[in-house]
Amino acid sequence: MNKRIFAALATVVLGFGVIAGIGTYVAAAKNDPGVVVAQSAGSYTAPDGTVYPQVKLSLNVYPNSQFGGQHGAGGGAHPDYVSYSAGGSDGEVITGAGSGSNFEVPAHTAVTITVYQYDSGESITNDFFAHVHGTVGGTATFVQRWDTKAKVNAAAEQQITDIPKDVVGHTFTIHGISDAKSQLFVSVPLMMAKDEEVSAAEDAGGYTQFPTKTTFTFITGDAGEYVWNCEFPCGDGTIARFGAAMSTMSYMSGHFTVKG
Amino acid sequence: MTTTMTHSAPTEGRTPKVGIIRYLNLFTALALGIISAIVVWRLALAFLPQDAETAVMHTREDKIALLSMIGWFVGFMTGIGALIAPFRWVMGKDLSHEENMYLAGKDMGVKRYFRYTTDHKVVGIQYLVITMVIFGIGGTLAMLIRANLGKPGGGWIHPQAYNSIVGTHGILMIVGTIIMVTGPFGNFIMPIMIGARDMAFPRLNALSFWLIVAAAVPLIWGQFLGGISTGWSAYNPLAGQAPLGMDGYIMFICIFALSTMVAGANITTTVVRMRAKGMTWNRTPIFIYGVVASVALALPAFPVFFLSQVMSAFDRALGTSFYDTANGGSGWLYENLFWIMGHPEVYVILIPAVAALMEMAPVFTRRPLFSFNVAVMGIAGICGLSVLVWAHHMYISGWAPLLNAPFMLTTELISIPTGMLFLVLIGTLWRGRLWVTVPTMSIFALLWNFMIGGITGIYLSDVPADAFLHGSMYVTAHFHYTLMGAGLTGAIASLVYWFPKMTGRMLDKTLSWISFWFVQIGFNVAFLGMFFVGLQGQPRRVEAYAALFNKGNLITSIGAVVIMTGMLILLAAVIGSWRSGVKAPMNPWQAKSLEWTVPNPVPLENFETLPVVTEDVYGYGGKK
Amino acid sequence: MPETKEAYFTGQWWKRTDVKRHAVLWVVLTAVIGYAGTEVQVRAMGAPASEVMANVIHLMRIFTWAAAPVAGFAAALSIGALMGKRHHGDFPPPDTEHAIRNSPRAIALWIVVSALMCLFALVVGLIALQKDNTSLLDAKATHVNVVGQQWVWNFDYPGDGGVRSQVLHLPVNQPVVFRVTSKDVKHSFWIVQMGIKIDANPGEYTETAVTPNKIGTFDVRCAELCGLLHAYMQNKVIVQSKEDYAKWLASQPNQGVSTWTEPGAAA
Repeated sequence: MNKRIFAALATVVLGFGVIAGIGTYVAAAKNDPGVVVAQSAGSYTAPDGTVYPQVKLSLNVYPNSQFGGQHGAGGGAHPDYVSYSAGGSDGEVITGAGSGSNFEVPAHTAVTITVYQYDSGESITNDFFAHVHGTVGGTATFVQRWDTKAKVNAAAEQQITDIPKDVVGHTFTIHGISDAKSQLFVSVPLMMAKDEEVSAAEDAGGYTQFPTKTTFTFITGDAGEYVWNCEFPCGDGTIARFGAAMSTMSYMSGHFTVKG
Repeated sequence: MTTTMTHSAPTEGRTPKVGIIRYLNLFTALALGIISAIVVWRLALAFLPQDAETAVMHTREDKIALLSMIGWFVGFMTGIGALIAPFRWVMGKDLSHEENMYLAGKDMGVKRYFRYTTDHKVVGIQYLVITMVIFGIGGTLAMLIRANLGKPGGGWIHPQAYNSIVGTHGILMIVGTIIMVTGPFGNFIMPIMIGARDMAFPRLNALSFWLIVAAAVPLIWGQFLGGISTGWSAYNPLAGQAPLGMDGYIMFICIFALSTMVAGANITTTVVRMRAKGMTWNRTPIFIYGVVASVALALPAFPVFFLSQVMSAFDRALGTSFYDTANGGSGWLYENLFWIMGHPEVYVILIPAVAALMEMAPVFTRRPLFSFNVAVMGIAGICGLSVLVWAHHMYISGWAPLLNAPFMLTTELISIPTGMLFLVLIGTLWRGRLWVTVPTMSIFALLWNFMIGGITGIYLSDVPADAFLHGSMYVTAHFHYTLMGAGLTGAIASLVYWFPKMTGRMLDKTLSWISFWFVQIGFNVAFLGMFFVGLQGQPRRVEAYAALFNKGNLITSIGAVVIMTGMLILLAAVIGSWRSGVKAPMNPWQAKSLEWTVPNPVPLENFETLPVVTEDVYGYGGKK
Repeated sequence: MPETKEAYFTGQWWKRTDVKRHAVLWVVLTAVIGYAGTEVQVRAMGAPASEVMANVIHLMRIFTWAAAPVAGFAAALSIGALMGKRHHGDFPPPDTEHAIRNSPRAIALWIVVSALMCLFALVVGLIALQKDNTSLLDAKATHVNVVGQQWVWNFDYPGDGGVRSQVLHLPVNQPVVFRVTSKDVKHSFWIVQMGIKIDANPGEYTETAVTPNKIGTFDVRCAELCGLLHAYMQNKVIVQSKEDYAKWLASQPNQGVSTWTEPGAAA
């Protein structure tokens, strides 16, 4: 009898060990485990006069994963997928360490994000997302052509509340679980870069010299776990075009942590 | 079928004259399956045209995946020997007597479990093992789910992996619960219980088992191709955009549907045509009714499921638009097809488990079954009504709001035949002499769990209440109470009850008691907690949740750990007792059904002389 | 031959000790199950924010109390059986002295009671369903279009100056009809505390309606698995007084009008 009970205990321990092992493996198998922490950038005065500490993040949106981002040489498992990655503060392409698609910002802070958009685009399916939402003043600062070589604007800077719905490249949309605390929601449309220039650059083994540049600021509330994703479906299928890249985290979606 | 067993000349020491059959087994099947899959894959890669530049959908990858999986399937089934007999038949011959006995595993030892063996007892054991494997994998996935949700707020496992784990857990458990009673006990015990030598179609019997093995591989293979992004219900259009793992799911279902249909035809024919002389329908044990009802219900339901998946495969691989509203199709078509299968299917799961416990109740109360006729009516009523209720899963889908009230009527009506089964069990407990064993206590556990499952089902059947409860964890808790709390309890009781006949040994008493209490208490803690968070507003199939659901999820996860401990203890008991348990007498429970009249181990052809039945099996009690 | 003559309800059966014991158990267990089942469930659901939700809570109460005697009966007979003499060991106890297989009276009673309870549940359900559908037909209702898209809801308020939002604002005590659709896969629009839910289907429009009767903040949670970030497809609902709602509407930009202008050359 004792032998039987001992065997039972051993089975239980072994069973839990196996499960724990599988669990650890599964939990670790995030597509992109890295977290990009926003850089501190002094302070920010909101239109109503409140002063917040400020942090900054700089992102690039690439038309494929081959030449930039955190997916490794040649673009990893999905080289043809669009990739959002942290980039240099002037839109420089970063690969490997320092790039990434999970972001962390502090609570009760003004977060300023600049997105350099290297991909082309088309007509958005739901023009709600052609408008700017959730930012300070409901606007964003937009430059239609940014010169990555000379590091200057190649078109005039403008304040926008929306962009025409037929030239949308992607969006950057932060949203999350409805909880007792304040719920963050930010959505900014990212205009496409010129189609011909994007294709030519890809043929030449890189990205266009003239991405669009969108900068926006929002104020975070309490700590919380959010996600960000693109709300302009361009993936596989007919109406259900959120397949492929759009449904694979660390390409066009990622975690957005507001750390308390 | 001969009344008296023929003793053919012993074949030990002499090589049987059986041709290619001798060489075919699980390993040749695996080898041929893998080779076929690779060959088809390379051919498809080479010859399938690239998707057009302007194509809206990229279907080439799905075509390649599906074709390779079909290649695997054909290779595997050829390699296991499923085609030998049909091939001979096409050639105008049949297998010889020696070949048939060889296929039945005569004088073969353990090897017969790894071959296309037709002996129903071997198939029953094979089903038992694969059920345990499926529950093991499904249970592991459940523990991963609860580990993720046990962390406050969840969000520990990557959303993509999590969604695939949830969907795979669901489909594995659904398949596991479908086969858990009908597979091992419907195959091993049922023919002996009706006084037959084997089933009507022994080769189909082997086929139904090996189809499940063939089916499982594409599902697992699919996990490494991106997994599935839908729940087990694989709703389109979400399934249309899912990664390649979805094609694995589709193949799994299509092949499993074939297995179920084959088993259904086999079991039904066996029971209708091969009961012993004198076993009229009035003298047929209630367990038999349960098994037949279950497979008879599956026969119309699973072809519809098969069809729904074929259309899903067409949409994914051929760019058709069955489920695509933009091009003339409809997602509601999928929902209807799915639930026309999905609702009868839960009764396919439940009825054998309840019927098994009804079979055991007289044995452990030493009195007749209360109202056999009501039991049969209850089973028949459930079967008949279950094909009329499916759209209660679609009350808030917006498909046909005017049909909500009629479906509410049919759904609530099903509580009447279900109640009859309760009456039979409670009536058998009344004024019985309780012999306390794990099967006995399982009856009480079933009554408790099914009461909760059934009443919460009434809330869900009510359209206004369902508008609140649908898609929340309340539904998940409800169906775990019915399928696991009632179904699995019946299956485990069946295992304890029939283990002595199937293995010749008694299942360790202490361990099975400990397992029983761990599983039942853990189960109730886990799923009562789940009702609570459902009522608070937690949706189903979420990888992370708001803070107010923290406590309820922690309780559920703790309960899950207790369940897992209990199931692992049961596993230890099964393995340990199978190898070195107390040898079982021929009739340890002093029960009256025919399977207890044959010795352990059960001879190849079951009965020396086929029995003649003069009374039913519930003749306990009374002045003797 | 199975016995068919009535064997349970013989003589003064209500005076038998075992019957009395079970009757007491039945009453006690019905009370416990009814009370516990109702109170715990109602507490979990929290305070309702609409008449529809109040009806749901009411329905759960009624059904739980109606089911309690049935559950109590099953529990009473189970516990009663366990309280009797129990045999343990490897061999069965001797068979019972009786060989009763049937009780036409018990069966008839059971079936009649189940059918009546079924009818009761149906009637109560139909009445509640009827009540919930009246908001849908209210001519003075506000209309809000709900668009579900992987993995965000957005709302627009037609006829109110192109206002679109992702936090749902509603005026209190005013019926609102939601016209719901999806841009991609199936979603389910669930305002938790108001007890309404309707699926969002691609290419189709479905409707549901409610009259919020409490000022406060509530939750929309997507209730149909819609892919990767289904868990994060949630919004807030802010129910305000009619004046505050009007003020909010007026303060929102008209998103039907674009403020876009082509940029000039670089400065």
